[in-house]
Amino acid sequence: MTRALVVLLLLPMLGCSYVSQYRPPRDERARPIWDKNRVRVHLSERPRPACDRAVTETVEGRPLAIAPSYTYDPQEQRGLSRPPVFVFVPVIFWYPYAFPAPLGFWGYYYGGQAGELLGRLQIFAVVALLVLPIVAIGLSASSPEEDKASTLAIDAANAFNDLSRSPGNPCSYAQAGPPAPEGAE
Amino acid sequence: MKWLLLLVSPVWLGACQPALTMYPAQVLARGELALEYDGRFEMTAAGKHVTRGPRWNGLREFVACSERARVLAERAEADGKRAFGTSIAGGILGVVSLGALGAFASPDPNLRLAILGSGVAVAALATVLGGLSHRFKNYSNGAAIDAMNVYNDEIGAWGGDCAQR
Repeated sequence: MTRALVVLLLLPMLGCSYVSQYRPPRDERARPIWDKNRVRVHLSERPRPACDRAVTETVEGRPLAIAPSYTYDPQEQRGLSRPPVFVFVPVIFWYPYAFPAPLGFWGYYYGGQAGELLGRLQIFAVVALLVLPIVAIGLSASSPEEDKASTLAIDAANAFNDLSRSPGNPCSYAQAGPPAPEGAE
Repeated sequence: MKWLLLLVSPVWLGACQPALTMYPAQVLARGELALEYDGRFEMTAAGKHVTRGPRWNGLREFVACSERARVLAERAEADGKRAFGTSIAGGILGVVSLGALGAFASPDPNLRLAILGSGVAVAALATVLGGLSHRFKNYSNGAAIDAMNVYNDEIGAWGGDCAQR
């Protein structure tokens, strides 16, 4: 009975998350994309290890060659084939929060069978009244997304795009080599 | 009182220490939208604030010249409004339900049980509304980020913006 009630209450939270219909095109731009309850970085091609390192260093705040200009001249998309898409997921160990669940009050003795039932109902009601409002207010006030994983993904996407649009670093377009000839597999 | 604080603290520790964007985008095309996070998702363009989640007010106007992005932005705004409404209702009902603990002032056990039962019902409703607000926030943020990506693919990353059109 109690388990059924808990499942019923938690159903809206367990319900399906937003499923993104967005299909990114194949180009050099990193995109933050929504995946269930977090943001992930999407890249069409796996970056070279040197570029990976450069992105990490940029996110961590070490100086790297970012173009001084705040404008960006869009490049033509290169390549026509569609290789496998890589989705980079920042690995974060994140434990959202614990729901308090006080247990062990059932040994309470109220006296008599009817009295005992009444007493137990009151204890159940008091426990529910202490727990449910906290859960309700916590859910209402908090954000559903995994903020640390999402932040890291956003930082990585921003840093990758800045580096790829700036000259003189391992992620620059200029470092990626000439575009594949038309019709080449 | 200590035990009450102990009950409350795990929830608020999770809710009140958000991660922050450490690296905002710097090299952007003129009308390109960029994503940041400071406890809530926020979108900027050309270094200026455009909109923020979960309500995403103004996103629809910003991406209006892209049909696909506009539809997604409308969905994000609608779900954002629902999230706001259910959050407020869930929070208020959650606080109101605590008032049922005053039932212990009554000497009548039946009346006491009736008040406590009503309080539990209100608290349960508040929890359902809180869960719904979570779901609407999730939908709102997902649709907004999709709208941003679609708009950037079609217009923003190519140096355009809807004010030009």
